[in-house]
Amino acid sequence: MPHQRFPKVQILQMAPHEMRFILSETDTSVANTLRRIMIAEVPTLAIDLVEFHENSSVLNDEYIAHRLGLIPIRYQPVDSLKGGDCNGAFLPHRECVCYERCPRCSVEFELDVTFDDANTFRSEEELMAPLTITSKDLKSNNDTVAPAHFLSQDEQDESQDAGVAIVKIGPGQRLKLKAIARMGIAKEHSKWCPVAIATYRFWPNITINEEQIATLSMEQKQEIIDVCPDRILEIDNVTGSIKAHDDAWDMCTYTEDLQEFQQTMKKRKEDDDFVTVEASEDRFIFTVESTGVMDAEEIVMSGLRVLKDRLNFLAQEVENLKDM
Amino acid sequence: MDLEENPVTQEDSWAVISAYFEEKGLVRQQLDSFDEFIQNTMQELVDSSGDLRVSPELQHMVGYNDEDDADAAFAETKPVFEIKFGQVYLSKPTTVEKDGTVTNMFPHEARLRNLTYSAPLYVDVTMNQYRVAREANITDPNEDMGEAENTENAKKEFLGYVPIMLRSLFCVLSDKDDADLSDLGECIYDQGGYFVINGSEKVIIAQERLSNNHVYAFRKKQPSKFSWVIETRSQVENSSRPVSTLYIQMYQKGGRGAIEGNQIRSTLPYIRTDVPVVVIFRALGYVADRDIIEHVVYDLTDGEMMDMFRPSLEEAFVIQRQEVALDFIGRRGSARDVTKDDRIRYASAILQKEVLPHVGVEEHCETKKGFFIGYAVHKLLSCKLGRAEEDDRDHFGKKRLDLAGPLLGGLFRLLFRKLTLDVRRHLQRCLDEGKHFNIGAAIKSNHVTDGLKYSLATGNWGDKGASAPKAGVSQVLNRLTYASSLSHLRRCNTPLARTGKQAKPRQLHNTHWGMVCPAETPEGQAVGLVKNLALMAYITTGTAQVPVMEFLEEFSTENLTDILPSVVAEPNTCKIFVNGNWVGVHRDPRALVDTFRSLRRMVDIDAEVSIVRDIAAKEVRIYTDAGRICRPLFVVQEQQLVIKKQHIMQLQGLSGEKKLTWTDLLMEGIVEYIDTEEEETTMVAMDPVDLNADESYSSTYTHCEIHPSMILGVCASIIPFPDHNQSPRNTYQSAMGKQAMGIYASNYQVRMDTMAHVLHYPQKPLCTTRAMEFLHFRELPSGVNCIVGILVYTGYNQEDSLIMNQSAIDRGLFRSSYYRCYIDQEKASSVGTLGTLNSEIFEKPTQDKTRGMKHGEYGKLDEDGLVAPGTRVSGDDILIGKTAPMDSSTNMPSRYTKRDCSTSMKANENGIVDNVLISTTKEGYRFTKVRIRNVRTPQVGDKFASRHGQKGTIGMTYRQEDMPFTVEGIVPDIIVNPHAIPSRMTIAQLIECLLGKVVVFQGCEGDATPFTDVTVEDISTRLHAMGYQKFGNEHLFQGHTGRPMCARVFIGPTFYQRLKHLVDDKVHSRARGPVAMLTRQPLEGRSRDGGLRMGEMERDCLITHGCANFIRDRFFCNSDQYRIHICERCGLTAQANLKKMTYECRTPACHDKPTAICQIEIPYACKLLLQEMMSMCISTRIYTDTRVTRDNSY
Repeated sequence: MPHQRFPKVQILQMAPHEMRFILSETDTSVANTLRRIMIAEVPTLAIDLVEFHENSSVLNDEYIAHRLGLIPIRYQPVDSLKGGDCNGAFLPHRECVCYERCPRCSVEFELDVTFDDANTFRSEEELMAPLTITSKDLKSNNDTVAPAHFLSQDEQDESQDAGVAIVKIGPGQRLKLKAIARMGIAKEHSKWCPVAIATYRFWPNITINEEQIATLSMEQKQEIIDVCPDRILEIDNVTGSIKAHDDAWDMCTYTEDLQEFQQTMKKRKEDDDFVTVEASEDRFIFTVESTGVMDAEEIVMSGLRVLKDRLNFLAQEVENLKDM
Repeated sequence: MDLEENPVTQEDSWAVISAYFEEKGLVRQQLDSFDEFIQNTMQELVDSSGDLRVSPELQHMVGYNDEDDADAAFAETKPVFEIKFGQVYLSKPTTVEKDGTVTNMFPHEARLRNLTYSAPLYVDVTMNQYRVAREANITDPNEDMGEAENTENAKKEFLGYVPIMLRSLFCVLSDKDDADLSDLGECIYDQGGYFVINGSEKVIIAQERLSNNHVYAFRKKQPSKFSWVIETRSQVENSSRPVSTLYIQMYQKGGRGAIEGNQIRSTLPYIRTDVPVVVIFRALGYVADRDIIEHVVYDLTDGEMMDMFRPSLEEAFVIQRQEVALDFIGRRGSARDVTKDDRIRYASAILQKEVLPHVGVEEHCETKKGFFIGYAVHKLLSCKLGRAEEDDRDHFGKKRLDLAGPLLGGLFRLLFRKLTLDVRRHLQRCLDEGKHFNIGAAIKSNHVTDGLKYSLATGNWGDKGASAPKAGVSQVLNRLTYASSLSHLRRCNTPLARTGKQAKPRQLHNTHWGMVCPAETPEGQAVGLVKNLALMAYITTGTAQVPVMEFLEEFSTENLTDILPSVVAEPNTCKIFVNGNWVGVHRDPRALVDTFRSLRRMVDIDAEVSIVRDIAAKEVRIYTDAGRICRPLFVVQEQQLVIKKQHIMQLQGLSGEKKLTWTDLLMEGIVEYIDTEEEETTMVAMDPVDLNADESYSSTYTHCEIHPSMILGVCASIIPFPDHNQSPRNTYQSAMGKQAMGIYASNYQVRMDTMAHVLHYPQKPLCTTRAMEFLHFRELPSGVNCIVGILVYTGYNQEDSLIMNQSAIDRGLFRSSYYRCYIDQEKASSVGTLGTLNSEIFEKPTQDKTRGMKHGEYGKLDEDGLVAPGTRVSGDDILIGKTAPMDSSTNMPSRYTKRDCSTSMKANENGIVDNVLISTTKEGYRFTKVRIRNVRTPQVGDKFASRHGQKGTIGMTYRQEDMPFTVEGIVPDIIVNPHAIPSRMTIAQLIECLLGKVVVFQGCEGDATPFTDVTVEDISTRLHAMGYQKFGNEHLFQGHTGRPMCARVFIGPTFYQRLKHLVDDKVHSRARGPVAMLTRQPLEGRSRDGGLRMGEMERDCLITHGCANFIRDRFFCNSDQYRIHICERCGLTAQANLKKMTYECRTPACHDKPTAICQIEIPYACKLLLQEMMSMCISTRIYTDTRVTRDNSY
């Protein structure tokens, strides 16, 4: 294979909810493919069917069903610490052989909250205040699947609310329903999207023309530095020249202000720029933020797996064509 | 304390504005006007209706000869019955159920059950019996009737139901707090100001008119007989008399008769020709030329004016005596062939009663009328001499707005008179027939009840039978979004022909400043004629004239009757007018005006009374009438605001003292109401800063604007930075804001509106104006803050279309619910009573007993004939099953006993049954409302708009991964095309976006109030400081390829509205379908599954393309193709029986001849025409010319 490249990944930060890494020595197309797959094609669980038994709340059935759909549903095998990737654990419901649904392609949740019942357990001062039904009230029939809301137990302890708010109910009101979660991808509906943000930025190449800079006064240098809202430049205290900020690669937003401003500062039009910021074409800083359905790392891994499967499928198809 | 030194700033005025709205709300004009009607006008109208006096007509009774009546004294006298209407009472709104129980009614119940929210009105009636001389004129109210022989008092007789305006004093809601209101099913933000008539909410739109009793001078457009005309529309306050207009014209040279120019003549009511004014003066008793000149010219040394008046004097030279003058007028009256004495009496009666009735209709008003006519002629002469300007017809100070009070007053007067006439007729009959008179039976309460209800329900103001009622006075309250309801309650209409070309009345006038919104007016035919009140504009309700007259008298005003005309000419005298009527002169107008103002600022004189000192014309005009438009201003004294920092603190409740209210401010003379006319005599500073002495523009400020943004109306106050937009854009947004979806009322779940849209996740805008606080726009918003990118992307956002983020839509962006209500009731059947089956009933119709069942699905009905809540229903499903008993009297043997009259769903709608209500009507029939709910997610074709008149439809939706993204991974929700910006110059949208971006990061609200000192510079500096490009441009990456885009893109949060025009309500296509019965052409319209019209222009296009066969296909084959047979001999239609293959022409001429029949194809409409002509005895003959044509059989 000519021009074969060996992409590298350098992990900058890895937390359950967010992951940052540098993907280098590859093309924009590859980086974008990964981004697109993470957004749209990583399979996750989400509530897809709701049976209402009783709804006397102020919101109508469709409204609540839509809200339920958007609650992140997390699959976490009992023995696993990392979690989320439900691929393999479940089948996409269209591919399952069962008649309507079965534990292999769906998870059932029950919710039954009655204001008057719940009210008896409440403290005096909030006795008649509306009661918020949250994702906590969804009872799953599968121990490995539960609605996600908090990153950690600590966060939950600090928080005022118990989970994702679904609806508030008042005296005499009740909500009873059965919700069925299924596996799907965000191409069909965004509720199956595992990421809040999956994006990359290009690595900036900042070149500083020391020769030109030397012709500037201190005020002018400061002006150049101030013109960048992303603050990628700073005064080099040693040389008195301008240098790129150490974290400039992380802060650069590629505004045109710097370039425009330099034009006004140049003595002659054809002079070289003082500072140029260019996007490198083979280094990408990825940021993946999870909605809570799975860990950020799992999203990336799952995305890569989907990509691989797709490529394998393509290769297989091409093979099939050859055989014909 | 340094409080004193701190000057009051523009920011502080918001405390004042808050106090104003806290006390007044936004529909105060409606409420005050209605309260005035209930509390005063109604009683006044009953009092002024006069007493009914009836005396029995002599009846000849059989066997009874009254000539022989022994009692001679009785023959000399006659009995008189008098009915006096006294005190009126209004109780709380009630309703009477069918079983006779009376219950208190609440507005929400009225809305749900299609009842009228009205309160019963009662009146005390006194009946007196007198005996008076036979020749006594009992119709004259001044006739002395002597002692009453017999008096009977009827307390609280029922007069009828009066609809009650919601939240007015007599409404049950007026004293309720928010918790009570929501318990009663009301919206806590609803401000009332409308009526509930038969379940629908009706607003009375303010009607604009020219003010009465004002002397107008107009230059006549040449060519015309006249050069100048004076017009005075004279009407007595609160009187039923029609307006009597007095015209005084100055003639041009030439024309018919011996007109040499500049004569002044006047039209008088009931007089056929113009009468020279000098003759009128003589008829009024001013005989000597000098007298007349003193009344007209005032200053006898004014040679120029004397010269101008001379032709008029000369014209009347022949008439030198009062009798001659009266005779002159009388001769030109309507009465003919009468004696001279009669003519003189007739003429003086006209002068007394019909001419200038507002000056006086009593006897001995000649002095006042002379002065008034003299004043009018003086004005005419001054105008002619170029000393005075022509009056401006469009000046807003000369306009009055009739609100609910005056309009209902007019209606009530009409109806009450009808009622009293009925009472009189009844009384007369009772007396004549010697029956006992019962007042309760005589009062037909239906007149008032039905009359008021009819006008409010239909909007046709006036009697039901009246020939030209004013249409559209009451309208159904717009409930699309909260702002649209508010704006509807503050609307006013100019009843002018919409077709009139002249632009003047439609244009924004200088005097509209602060009174009428400069932006909010509809586009098209009604532009400028329909206006909306500015936020702080208030309409006077009218106060009594008496206190003002007393004040004037106390402050040495000389009454007109007590002065010599020469006094008027003295240099320091000043004419005093009250409500357009000249009441006297004053020698020190300045002191008078100052005293008046200071009294008004203490509210010793009502705050809404206005005073105008016209120095040039030497006049002081005082107005107390209803319908003037005014607004509050800060009072400035000696270049200092009267309001001080300490007042602001008190208003905000920050100082320890009692919290100040708006009324306190009025009482202390800190603010005052200034009406449009008085405004012209003031010097108003725009900003408290302008008062600073060293840089001040004027040194004679009298007032200061509270805040310049208060010139805007309800809808324009929602626009951020409207001062940065091209003005038509604000007008467009003002119209579009009314179509935006939001939450239209907090009680929408319990309301059963015929149609309603509710946005699922409304947000308050990031960029708000201060005025929104009073419009409750934060609590009931109508839009969402979207991330908007302005760029060209894939080409699916051209020509005002938008690209929307499908992922955002999935997550609930702009999701809305659509509610629709279907109503039905069991009516009494038109078929006679047939045992128990005498009315329609709700039930599930069965195939075996019911005739005429519809195609729809009856299976979703329960046994009670109604669908259950939660049922999914779609096109043509039956929602309400109802049957009517069939007339079995025809004795046709039939298995059917019932006829189906169920209600089915609209064909192209679907949804879920949300709510079903069953109740009874007032008549006791069962009554139901079924509400269907449907969730509408945005899709291609739905309409959206920003707050800057930038509307567009979705052209494409892309998922998140296909959308362009910033370095932070932000994707826009909406992508608009940059071409939408330059030509429309909606700079404010860009500023909104920029400020929105700043505010999003700072986590606060952005202030986008117009006329403040926020600048783009400030905003961009703040943005830059936060690490973003200062003008909001960002580097974006293409979503599909992931490559950077070469241009930087303007992106940020902008508040977008979803408009009610959704494709789901518009999509329509048809291949074949129903045709009209008469013409057999396809029907029109989506609701009837009609065809799409191929109009004239489309036809023209086809002709130019020369596609004749296509035209034939469209206009004939696919429309109303038909074939008939004609006789080739006579050309008339022949009889053809295609089954039997018999053809014949029965025309006598062809009867026995061999048949020659020919089949032709013509449009059915043509066949119809031929037959219609036949019915008019026109025979249309068709002859064919057989020719080999193309075979069209394919």
